[in-house]
Amino acid sequence: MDESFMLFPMALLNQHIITEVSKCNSYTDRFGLKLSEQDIGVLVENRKESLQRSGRIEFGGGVIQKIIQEFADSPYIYQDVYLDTITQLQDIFYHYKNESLDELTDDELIKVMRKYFDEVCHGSLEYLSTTALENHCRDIRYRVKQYSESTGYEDNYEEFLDWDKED
Amino acid sequence: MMLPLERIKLIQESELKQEFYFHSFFQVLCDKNLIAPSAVEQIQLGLIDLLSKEVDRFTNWESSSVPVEKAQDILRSVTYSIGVYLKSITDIQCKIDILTQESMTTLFYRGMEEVSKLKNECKDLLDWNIKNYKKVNHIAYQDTILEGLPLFFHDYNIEFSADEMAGSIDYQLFHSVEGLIGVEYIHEYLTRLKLENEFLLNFQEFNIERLMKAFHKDCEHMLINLFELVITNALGCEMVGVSITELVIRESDLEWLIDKLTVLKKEEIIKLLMITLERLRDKLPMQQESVDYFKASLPELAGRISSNLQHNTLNQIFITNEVVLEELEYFEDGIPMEDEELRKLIEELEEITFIPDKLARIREAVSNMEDWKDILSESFYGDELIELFHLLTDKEKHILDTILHEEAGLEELSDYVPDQEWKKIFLQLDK
Repeated sequence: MDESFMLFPMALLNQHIITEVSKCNSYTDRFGLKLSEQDIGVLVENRKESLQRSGRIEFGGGVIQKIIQEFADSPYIYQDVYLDTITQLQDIFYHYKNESLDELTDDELIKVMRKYFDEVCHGSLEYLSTTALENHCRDIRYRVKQYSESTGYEDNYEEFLDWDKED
Repeated sequence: MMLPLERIKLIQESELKQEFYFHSFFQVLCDKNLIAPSAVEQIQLGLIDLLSKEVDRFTNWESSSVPVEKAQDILRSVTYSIGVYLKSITDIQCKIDILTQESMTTLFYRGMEEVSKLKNECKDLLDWNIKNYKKVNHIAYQDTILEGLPLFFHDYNIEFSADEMAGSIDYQLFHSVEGLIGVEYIHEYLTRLKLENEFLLNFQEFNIERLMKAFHKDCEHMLINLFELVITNALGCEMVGVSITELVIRESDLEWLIDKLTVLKKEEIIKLLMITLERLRDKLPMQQESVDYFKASLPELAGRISSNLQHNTLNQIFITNEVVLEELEYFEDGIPMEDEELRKLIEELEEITFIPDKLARIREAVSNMEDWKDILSESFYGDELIELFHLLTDKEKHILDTILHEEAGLEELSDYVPDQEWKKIFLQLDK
């Protein structure tokens, strides 16, 4: 990382994010989901690693909050797997942000993730990360279709199901 | 917080990096404990906040994260603009007060105003250079002024890449700009280019091109500095005591220079160059800024002269151009024929059967380039032209080549569409 980033006190940044994420509990309570302070610490630590792995930088805790809010009512998420799922979703998010060449906005990517997660992958994070999103982002990279023209996976759902079949 | 004077003196302006001024200044403040830890933290938080806002603006509020490289670019741009603003404040204590009391966002917007002001000044400088540049055939010089530099105004992004050098600069200045980036670099480049062009205005394009040709036959393609070429020969001319504006140094003049300079030490050569420059100043209109600009380079020039004298290659410094002069004078200085006289000659040529005889008659009667062109278009056709061109000397061919190059102007000869038969055939000829 450039020396210019050394100017920033990372501890201050993390504290800011912890405060932001802990505010999400008031929303997720209704779905029986809650993150303890320790959980949030794990999440923030994982966020740091994810960002480092994907070579990205983020200000504020915006994306964790958005992921939590989008996925809180998913039928495949419950308290026992909550922390683990959000942690992995966060990882997947940053990876596919790069893979889509930043063509997808945060909201678009999170919405696409949610749709695939619930309706195609049926809660399988592995399927989501290795197959569904990979296919989707490849379409974006090769400009198979303008993302702005599609509303999500359903536009290429048939193609998606057949993606690994021989012609 | 007012710092004691001796502590403020700990900051040496000359030690600060001009291209990364904010970083450099902030680092010195931290290293020398010139600001309180709480103020350091406040500045850091202010920067995070500002960077966060700028990333939001960059992504149009659609992405909270960006690749690290992009964030670094934005941070560099932001701190560059703040640095430009801090540079505009001369008093160190005042700089510290502003840095600790104002928000980073405020400093950034003030910085952008300064950058914008510099950009506007750059526009005026470029307009001047475009209006006054010498129309000589030098590709890098013309391309940089007419295409590369104007691109800067199209591509430069004050908000997200203020520190980048948009545009395309191929032409090398006499003194290259160092230690500056972004709009400050372009501003300094254009200011120096103006100084150089102001000096070149004292010379006719013809004289500069003659000097260029003597320097190298493909001079127009070379990445050389025209000003350096011209001022060196102008100094040489002044030392020899011949016309400065013509820039002509003959072999005999060079011999004289060698005799005079060989006996001098480097310091004495510098002194002689200084005196000569002062004499030049009396003869040519030159601003004090220009004189200072040239003076700064004289020690280096003296070093090169000294070294070339040792290797007996002073002709690499002072370009002798009498051969080229003769070639071009061969026709240019000739008196044009009267219309009646020219008509009679054309009629006379019609009576001559053989091309070599015709050529001999032309050589005898014609001494002007325009007359040559008229005769070529009136008295020779098709195969006659081919035969004639094969009989021409290299010097004569070179002159016809020069005529066509001049007519083609900025175009490549391959793109030039000639309007007369002799030009078409000459261009197709395997010379």
